Amino acid sequence: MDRRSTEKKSVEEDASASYIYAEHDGKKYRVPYGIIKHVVFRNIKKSELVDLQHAARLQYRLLLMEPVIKATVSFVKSEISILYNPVGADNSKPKASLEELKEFLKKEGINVDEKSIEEKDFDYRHFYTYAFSPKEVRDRPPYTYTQEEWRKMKPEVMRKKGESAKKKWERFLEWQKKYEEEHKDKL
Amino acid sequence: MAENMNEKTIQGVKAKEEDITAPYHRTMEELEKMPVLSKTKTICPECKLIIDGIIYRDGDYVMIRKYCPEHGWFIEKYWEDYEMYEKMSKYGYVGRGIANPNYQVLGENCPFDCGLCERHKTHTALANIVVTNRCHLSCWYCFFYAKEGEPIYEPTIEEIERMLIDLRNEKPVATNALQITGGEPTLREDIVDIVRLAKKVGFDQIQLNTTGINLGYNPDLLVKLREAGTSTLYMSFDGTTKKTNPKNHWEIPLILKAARKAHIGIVLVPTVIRGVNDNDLGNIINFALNNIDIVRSVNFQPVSLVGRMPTKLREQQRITIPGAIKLIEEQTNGVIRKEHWFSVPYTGGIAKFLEALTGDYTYDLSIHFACGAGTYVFLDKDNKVIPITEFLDAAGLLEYLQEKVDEMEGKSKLARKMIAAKAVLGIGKFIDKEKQPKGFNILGMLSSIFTKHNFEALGRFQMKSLFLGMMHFQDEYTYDIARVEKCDIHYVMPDGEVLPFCTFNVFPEVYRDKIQNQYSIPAKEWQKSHPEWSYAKDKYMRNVKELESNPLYYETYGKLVDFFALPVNGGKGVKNFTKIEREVSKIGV
Repeated sequence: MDRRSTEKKSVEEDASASYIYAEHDGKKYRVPYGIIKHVVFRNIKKSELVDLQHAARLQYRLLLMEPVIKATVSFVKSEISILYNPVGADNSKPKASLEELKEFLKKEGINVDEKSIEEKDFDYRHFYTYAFSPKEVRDRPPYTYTQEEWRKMKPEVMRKKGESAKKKWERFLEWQKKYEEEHKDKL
Repeated sequence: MAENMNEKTIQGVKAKEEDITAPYHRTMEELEKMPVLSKTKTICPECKLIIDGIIYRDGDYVMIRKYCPEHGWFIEKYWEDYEMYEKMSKYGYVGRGIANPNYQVLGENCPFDCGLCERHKTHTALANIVVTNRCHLSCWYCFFYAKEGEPIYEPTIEEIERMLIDLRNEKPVATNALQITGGEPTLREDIVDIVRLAKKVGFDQIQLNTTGINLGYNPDLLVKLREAGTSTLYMSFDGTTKKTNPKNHWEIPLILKAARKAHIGIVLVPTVIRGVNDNDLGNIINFALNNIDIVRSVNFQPVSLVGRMPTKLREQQRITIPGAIKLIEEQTNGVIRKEHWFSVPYTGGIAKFLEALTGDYTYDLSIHFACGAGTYVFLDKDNKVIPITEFLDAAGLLEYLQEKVDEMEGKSKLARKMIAAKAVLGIGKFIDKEKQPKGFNILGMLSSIFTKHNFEALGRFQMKSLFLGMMHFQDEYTYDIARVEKCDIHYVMPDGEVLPFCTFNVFPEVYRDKIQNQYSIPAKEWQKSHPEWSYAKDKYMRNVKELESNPLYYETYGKLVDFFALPVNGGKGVKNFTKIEREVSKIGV
């Protein structure tokens, strides 16, 4: 499959594209996609993925395709997971069909198991929203402190941090006031 | 690329020993005898397959070689000085990474899993945010700016705010330093609002990455930017002559004047290319010393050869950090020598000391040692140029601090304070007071850093000194995944991802360009919503005659003092020192 869009209408020509928005905290943020597709190809033969390194390169090649938004090729799990912009999606970006993805994978030596394909709609806004608020996966203590020590001292350290940030901001405002006086003819 | 490693030479000509390209043309037999220093993972520059890389010693050079089963051998310079490699590698350590990465994956497919993932070993120390892909220049080597008719990438201020908050929410260390970049960020009419917003969100350090040209012509804008909270201008400066710096040579005088009026510091940023401007490095430092009142730092960037280029040209133009450092030594006649430089993770010792003392997370510059190096030089009352390690036993101080860090482990808060107090009293023995710059109190400044528990005292430190930095970003030939996973210079993306510099820029087709294109607006649509705008209006047209006839031009380039020619600095003068002569007849004055 040509790595560019299969859509005849190019992005450049579509000057009247409507916008899609994600909402957060009462504000709207323009995003390029709304409902897209998430497809997972499972039970890929390890011999076709070859090894970890070739799996990584396949991931890179999938990412080169404009309609592919995210791709993960896991040699360990023997699966390929793709977020892509499907034909028919209501946006102005390059699109692809599932068949085109399968065809691309075939050219790369991957024969997908039709029975193990899982595809569903995916709201891009979930991906977008999560990216801005990822969860904490670890809480390592500062150097030379144990986890237990850190657990006890953390509230106090965070409180002092907040105070220090406030003082820093006040110092900046003081500096800013002085600067404004010195440069009032230019501001 | 070496085509047949079994032949005596690759190109049919035996390289001379002093030929800088000789290490590229060894036979397989010669290579196998060379000591292996380490092994790493890298990529094939042609097909991006992840392959093994062998870092080895070839005489004074440190090289990397790699073999792709489909594209054969690739050899590239890794570091151009084995002694420096040995010294700098001592200071490497593994940082604590990020507690809330975007991707809870272990980076099985690094560097194609980026965003960041759990595998990443260093927090964001400096975040870049691209605020526009419009630019007023059209530099032939640049891939960043939008060509005519191409989509415009320019996030709204709300989108920018979200990205900035994203950075400040990073744990355990919130990103504190921001570089606003582009394209040319000053093309945005709301650039002052962006800076104000960044300050409000909590960034201490805000740099503006700019050609400076718009600011030279509009000094009031620079005052507004300073007032809003811009700390420094991060300004391209490829050399001291028209030939070495065609980008903004003529506007530099205006920019310096505007910066002085606005009281804003400048970081000069030369991209160093062997055979192009590598003969001007000493001059660049001399120029900075001449403007030390306003220039805070020179940050040399040995070129990254991203994209396709003929092998021979790549071999000739390649320069690495030690290569640039050695040229500086040569061009300053040994006043600034290679032993004066340290790798960036050296500062980790100081950060760990502060963290052990306070129990609060500190900026942890645990990048790979091969990514960056630096030193400070002072200009004392007699105009003597004094690198910091002439009077400060930096290595000894670091070992001393590490001992104190080890002592603090398991101790109470009070005991730690006592250890720290003793440590501060003991710093004096690492300073040679006879050699320290006259009029400076280095001990006082260092003590201030340790007693105030932060680096704010460094601001005063920098006012009387010049920081010289080296930052070598990777390309497909030098790519070392071990360096990428420790990178601390990141880009924040409009989709919420955070990307290391050397994935964002080395693989733009799957990162930078891909994501920016997703969030770009077609040129026609942009035109509709910005009826006053045109591509041509963005572009800068230089009037060379007018700029050269400005008295400021002669002030800046004609009255340079060669500090290295002063007897106190050895008297030999900086190599290739040039200053312009006023040609009255040509300028009609």
